[in-house]
Amino acid sequence: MSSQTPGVEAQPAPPHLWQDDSAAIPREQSLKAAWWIAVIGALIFISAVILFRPDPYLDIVRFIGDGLVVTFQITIVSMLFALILGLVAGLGRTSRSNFINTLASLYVEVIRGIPLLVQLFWIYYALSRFVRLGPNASAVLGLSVCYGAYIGETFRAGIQSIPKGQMEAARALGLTQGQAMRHIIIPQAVRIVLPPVGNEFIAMLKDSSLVSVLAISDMLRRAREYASRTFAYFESYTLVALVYLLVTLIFSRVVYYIELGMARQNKGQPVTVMHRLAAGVIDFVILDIIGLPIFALIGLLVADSPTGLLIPLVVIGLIAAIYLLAFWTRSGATPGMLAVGLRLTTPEGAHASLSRAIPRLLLAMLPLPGLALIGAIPALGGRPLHDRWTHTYVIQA
Amino acid sequence: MSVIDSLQTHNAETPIVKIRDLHKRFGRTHAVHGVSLDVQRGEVVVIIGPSGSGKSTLLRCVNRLEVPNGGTIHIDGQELTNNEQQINRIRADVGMVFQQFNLFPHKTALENITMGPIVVKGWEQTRAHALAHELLVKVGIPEKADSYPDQLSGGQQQRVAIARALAMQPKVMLFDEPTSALDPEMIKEVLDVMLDLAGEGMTMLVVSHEMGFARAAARRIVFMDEGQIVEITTPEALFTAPKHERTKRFLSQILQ
Ligand SMILES: Nc1ncnc2c1ncn2[C@@H]1O[C@H](COP(=O)(O)OP(=O)(O)OP(=O)(O)O)[C@@H](O)[C@H]1O
Ligand SMILES: [Mg+2]
Repeated sequence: MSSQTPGVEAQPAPPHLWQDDSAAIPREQSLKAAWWIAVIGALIFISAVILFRPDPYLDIVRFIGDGLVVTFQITIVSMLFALILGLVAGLGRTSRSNFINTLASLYVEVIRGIPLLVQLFWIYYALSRFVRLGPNASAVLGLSVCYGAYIGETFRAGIQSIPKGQMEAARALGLTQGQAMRHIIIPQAVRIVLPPVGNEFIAMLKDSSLVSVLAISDMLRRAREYASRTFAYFESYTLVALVYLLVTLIFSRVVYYIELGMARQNKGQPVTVMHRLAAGVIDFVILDIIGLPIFALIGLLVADSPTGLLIPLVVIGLIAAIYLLAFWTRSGATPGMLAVGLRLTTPEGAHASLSRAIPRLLLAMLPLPGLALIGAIPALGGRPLHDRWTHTYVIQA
Repeated sequence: MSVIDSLQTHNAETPIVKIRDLHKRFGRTHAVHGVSLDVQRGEVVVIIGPSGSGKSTLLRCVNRLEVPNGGTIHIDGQELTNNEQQINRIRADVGMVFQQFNLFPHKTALENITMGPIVVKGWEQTRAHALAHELLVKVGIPEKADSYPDQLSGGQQQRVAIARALAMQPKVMLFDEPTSALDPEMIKEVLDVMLDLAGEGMTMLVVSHEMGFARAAARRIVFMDEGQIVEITTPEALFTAPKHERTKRFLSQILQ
């Protein structure tokens, strides 16, 4: 009856990772290409120089490896505090109380008006007239206070971007202000602020290189130490730059998937394995607050001897495995998604009742900050990590 | 109908909404300027008037989304005060449907409807779900229970919004221009739901310029201008013999 005209009817494209309706824009395409070129380029360069010129490159990699761990420790611990500070500042900035609002605004304005490097110097050198803080504590304090202000602004923007009608509709139903915040406003705001907060995390990862001025052996500092000893300036700094680039690119891709996943979910489109992985990463970050005390305890008990570190690592691995299995088999609904009211994953799974969510939440006592904290405890106490982990690469003061 | 009639005669002397000398100012704007109005049980009152005449503000005062500057409002005999708990309790008895629907975008149609009963009334999920399904049948979209608002048409969204308000089993329903954000072909499906509701004896206070609906459902029409009630008449009297010059002018504008 109806004759098919080949080629005229648009075939629905198979659901492909990059097949988004925004993907038609050439800018988007070249951005993707640039990402792949940069990542693969960096990977090839690093592996090539290690392979063909192990001296000094392999040496450098082993030397700055410790620094990378320190960089992550500092960033993750600072980010946790920054998120708490940011939430307080953000809620304060949207508060109806004039006093609280002014206080929060003052914090944001003052902190945003002073360069981070100056803040770090001030905390470490100037503040020492009143309280002496170690380099690690100073670094964490500086980074979290600074980023708390920026993240606070992100939270404020997120909360205020929810249309007024949402609060009104909730109140009209009889919900209290607090109930409306909890059930209606915050879940929507979190979805909006997640990508920008992810970007703040990346920015902090990069800015953490500033703490090397406080004699903290982060990646940059380690490279400097190596270079000043061997005069391999070009090799050391090139490698550091590439490692930063690689790490940043990978995290920015995670943020991109979070964004894409939300856009898809809003249109009722299917989510891919990559979106689920991105969801898992958010879970790691968000829900770790539950895991923190437990892992901190384990860390305190056993982390002092190098072999003792194995025990928490095994525990972490086991919990992570159980947890991954749990969310993977439940059509991709992750506890983290439930907790923050997201629906990156399928609607049915992501909207289970709270009573069913609690056991899953308990499963989600996640390892990442716990792990970081274990490492951070000796580090915050002023004992450098690489004393224990590596044997040959300790610089004698 | 007879049950409702007897109910009305029984409570004839206590209007379910009683507004006395209501004032609301926004800075210099006197949005509502001394309005008094009674709405009886089971009555449908339609409010019309030019833009900026204070119709929305009046409606929003009734469930205290706006705090009035003067006058009193009683809902079913209880005065609205600044007591937060009491306001929340009364709000649960007053359903509101907005021009822009204001559905919760992160919740499915079903969850939008069950939100009130579960959170405010503390209902069991199964009980709330049963009610929600019943209401979705009533508004004619039982198959959309698991759809998110952005997967629904405007008319469907507004019908979910009506079901959401009904889920609290309110004594009064407020509608603020429920069809004016809709495409013409969707207006009827929403008005039909509202007509059904009126037929069941729901007390309704409706801001709308849908004259067909007013004719079919309204017992009284309130014409407002510049924050005041200019005249209150029956639909028939309004179209055949409007008393005031302002009313005539306004009617000729909206009826063209
Ligand atoms: N939140 C507010 N802040 C300041 N002025 C307001 C506010 N809400 C309403 N007004 C003013 O109060 C007056 C009445 O507004 P209202 O929205 O009640 O009118 P309306 O009859 O519903 O008009 P429309 O038909 O356009 O919806 C208008 O002059 C309006 O500008
Ligand atoms: Mg209005």
